[in-house]
Amino acid sequence: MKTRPRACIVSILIALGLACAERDPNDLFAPEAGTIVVDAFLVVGQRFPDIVLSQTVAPNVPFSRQAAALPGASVRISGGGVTLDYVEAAFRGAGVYAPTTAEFVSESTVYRLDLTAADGRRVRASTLTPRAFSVGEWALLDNAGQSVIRRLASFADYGDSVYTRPENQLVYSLGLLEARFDPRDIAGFQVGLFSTSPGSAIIIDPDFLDEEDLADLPRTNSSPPLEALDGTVRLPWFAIFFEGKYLFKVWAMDRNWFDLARTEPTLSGGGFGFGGQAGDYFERPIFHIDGGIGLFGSGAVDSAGVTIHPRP
Amino acid sequence: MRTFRPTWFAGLALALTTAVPAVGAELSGRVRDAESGEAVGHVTVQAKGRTPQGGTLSRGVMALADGTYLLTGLPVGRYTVRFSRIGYEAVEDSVVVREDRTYTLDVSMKVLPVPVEEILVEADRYAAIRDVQTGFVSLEVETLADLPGVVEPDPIRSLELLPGVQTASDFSSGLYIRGGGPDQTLVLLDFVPVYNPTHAFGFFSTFNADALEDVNLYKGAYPAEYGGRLGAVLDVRSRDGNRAGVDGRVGVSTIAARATVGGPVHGGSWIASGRRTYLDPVLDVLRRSDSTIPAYYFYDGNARLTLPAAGGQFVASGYHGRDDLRLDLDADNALVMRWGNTLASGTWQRPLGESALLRAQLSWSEYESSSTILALTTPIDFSNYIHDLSFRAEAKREGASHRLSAGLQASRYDVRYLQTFNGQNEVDYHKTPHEVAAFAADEWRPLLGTVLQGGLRVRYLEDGDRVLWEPRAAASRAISGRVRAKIGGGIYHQYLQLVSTEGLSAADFYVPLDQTAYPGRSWQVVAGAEFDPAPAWRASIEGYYTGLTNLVDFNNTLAGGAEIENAADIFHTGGEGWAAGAELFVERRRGSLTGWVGYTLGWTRRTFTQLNAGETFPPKYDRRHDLNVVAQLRRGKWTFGGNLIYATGQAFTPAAARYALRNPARGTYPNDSQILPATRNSARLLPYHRLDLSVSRDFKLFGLPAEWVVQVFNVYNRRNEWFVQYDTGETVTEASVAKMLPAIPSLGVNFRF
Repeated sequence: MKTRPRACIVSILIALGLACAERDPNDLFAPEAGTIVVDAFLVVGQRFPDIVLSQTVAPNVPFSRQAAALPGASVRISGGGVTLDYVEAAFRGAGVYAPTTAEFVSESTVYRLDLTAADGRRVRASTLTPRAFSVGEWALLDNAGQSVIRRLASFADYGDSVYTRPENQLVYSLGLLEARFDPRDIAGFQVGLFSTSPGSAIIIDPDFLDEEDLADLPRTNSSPPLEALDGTVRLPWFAIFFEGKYLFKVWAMDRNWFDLARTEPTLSGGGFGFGGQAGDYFERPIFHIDGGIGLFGSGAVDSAGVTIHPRP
Repeated sequence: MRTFRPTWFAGLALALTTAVPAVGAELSGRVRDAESGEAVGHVTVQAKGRTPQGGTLSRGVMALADGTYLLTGLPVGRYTVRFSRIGYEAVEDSVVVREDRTYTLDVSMKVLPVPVEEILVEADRYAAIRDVQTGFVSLEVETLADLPGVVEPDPIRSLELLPGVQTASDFSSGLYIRGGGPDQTLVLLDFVPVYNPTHAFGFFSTFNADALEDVNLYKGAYPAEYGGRLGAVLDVRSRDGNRAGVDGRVGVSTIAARATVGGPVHGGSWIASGRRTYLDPVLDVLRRSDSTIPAYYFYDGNARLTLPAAGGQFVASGYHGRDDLRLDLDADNALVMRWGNTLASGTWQRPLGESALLRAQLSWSEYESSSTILALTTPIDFSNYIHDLSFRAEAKREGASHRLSAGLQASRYDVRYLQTFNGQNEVDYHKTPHEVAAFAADEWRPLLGTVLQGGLRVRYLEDGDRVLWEPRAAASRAISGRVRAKIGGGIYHQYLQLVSTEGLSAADFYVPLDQTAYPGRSWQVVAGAEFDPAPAWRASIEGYYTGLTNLVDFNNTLAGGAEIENAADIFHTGGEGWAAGAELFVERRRGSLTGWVGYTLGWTRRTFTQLNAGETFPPKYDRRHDLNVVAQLRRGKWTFGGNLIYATGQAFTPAAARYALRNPARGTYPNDSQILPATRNSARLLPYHRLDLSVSRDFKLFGLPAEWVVQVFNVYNRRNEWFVQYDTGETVTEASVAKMLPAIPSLGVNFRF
């Protein structure tokens, strides 16, 4: 072989060899840590809740909620004629702060959060609570969604005995359960589903899931955020995995919660990934918090209880 | 005097062609290839003769691209007519003019044998365009189809081997040209837009190499006869049938079979091509033991009929293709997806006046897709379509120093996107806008070696009641016999926006911008030089800059059931951007070893107030360096090919931090805690590179010329990085990189009859 072509080939191989070097896994991170995280959610008509404060942790180090907790902060919520100071309540969990007085969250009220960390950093946020919300009607429709088969009994009328009411007995995948309400002046809605019969049997039987997959099926689930402009939300059967009692909650969301839920993948329930290049939609969520991240939001809720039976 | 029909386009044509009244006889005809019968364009036709008065006369003209020519002003006399063109044997014939009428002289020209085979990256038939147009590349499909690739010859994917052209990944045939996305490139098949030119989720293009003649790419600063996209134009032309006799070709690859047949008919020709995958039986067998194996196939077909008509030529052409995917897991879980394009057009063209051509086309283009998901008995449906009904008329006149063109185009679109969940309509977006455009352009050659081109395209968009002005300009100057300098630019608008999903092209859909979002706008300037140092070599260097305004970006944070009525409901609007770069291209065009080296240095940036906190960021496809080396060696019956591609890594958004928030709807922490992204696209994937090799050999199959081809895509099995994903299920965040294709060998056989 002549020298010149051989040198050319060797050069190319060396260049390719250098280019084939594997990456350092840490190159996939751009660590920044120590940002204050607020986890506070008010429910209209209920007592002011505990607040959880933490800090962000670099992604390439071990994470635990305990280690991320933010101690020693002074926290105050004010609005609607009340002012609540919070104190650290570590016995309830790392980073947990509890209100010093028992007050109830009012509807259509602006509440402000004012937080000062031990090192002097300040975080501020505000939420406008939704109006009091209730589902006007829980209806069971035919599978085509065209006609109402029957209406369900409500907690308001029957309390916990709704689970044994005949009209609240559902057969898996037969009919469509629809919540109907007035959507006006509400930023968005989200549905929570809870299996409340501990140890109840799995009701689905997909051939393509193995034992390990079946063991990981969740007993709680939630929908992505919905605008529900027509005032209806249908509950999908694919979110239900167990027979027995189920509690459905329809949440009316404030703007803070709605914006976070639709921009944060773990809260949005994911999507179908339309419109972009692979890996492209990794974007900072909308937090509405000044000086930190997280959620200072509010909601109003109504719920229904049913008992789900397997298909005959 | 010809009969005047009071239609506006005929009037426009006559305005171009009747400036000088004709005196004397006319000689017209068509030049064809003696072997294939196909038209031979740009032939020099020269008539020399003596008049009865003893005077000598010489008249000359250049035939049009379709081989037709027209000599006028011939007095009575005897003439020798000479037809000449590079690559063909010159032909001489004689004609005797006895009176003022039209004489017809059709000739056939034989290809002039050359001692060695050669690759012509830019076909001579487009030499006139290449003289002035910056960033223009014309490639014969035979050349592109011979390049090593993935399983099936794909002329469109092969374009990524040119400088300034990239694909997003191995799984996408969408083209990213000079910093623009695939939605910014207008793709045409015989002047008909193709709205989703992909099969197999973007893996292959819809273009069957056997049905095509050539592929013309305007990488930027395209002329006034085109419009509607911010960046580039890919103008694909299909083949005519063989007028000399019936012929065809058949090819079989690892996944698909294809056949093409054509022949003469009534003074014209016909051709039909078809292609289909044949993996269905194999997948059916696999599915008996594993229900997660899907059923999938695609097919497509092209047809073209060319007939003489009304003094000219009528061409009817069509394309139809479909992809079908089915996954039946059980009675409660299934997935069905169908998508594809259908194109149909009727084109009439005829010479008009002295070296003029009139052309009118009515076309229909549609893309439709539908997806039905049954997830544990819950139905979820997506469907979308775009229908485009267009009429286009244009006239061209080639004079001694001016080449005039003008035209009109009217298009009506029908666009719909429908999404239902659990029987409820979540999105039902439906628009039927229309637009009208007119263009005029002049290419002037004031001096030998100098070309000036000016044009204007004006568009009216009914949706939004907008008038858009799009000037175009270009100039070139031959500095020496071997060096030509060029510059060009223009203003462009884009009204139809594509929402594209990489790796799932079936889900792509179009949205026309309306009164709530101004059409995107770009202004481009390109300058460069071409150098032919030797007959076998060509080199070029070109720099470009593109400014972008009114950009849109799909808003993927819409909540379910959001009100979708206008473009502003779907997109983040008001974006800006720019792209700049330089390309170097060196090509060896003749000899047993041919190929090229292309290098691109480029930057591209975007800014949206709604994204990245309003800070400027590079899009994913911003790549600093891109190098392509293509080589082909012919030795007797053997042909060896190789492509080497190297590109610096695409941009991605790394994870910056981890935190935990409860889900208020459930009141509990999700299984996976949250990841906080860093600044958008602030990190880079590893460089992309791969080597493809191919070997083919000619042989005889039952006496017919045939070849077998063995290709290996990604010979050294480089698992190039595609995108990054993060898993927070463990205490330490796991980052994993999805990889692109491994080494893929394939085998194919082709033969002709």
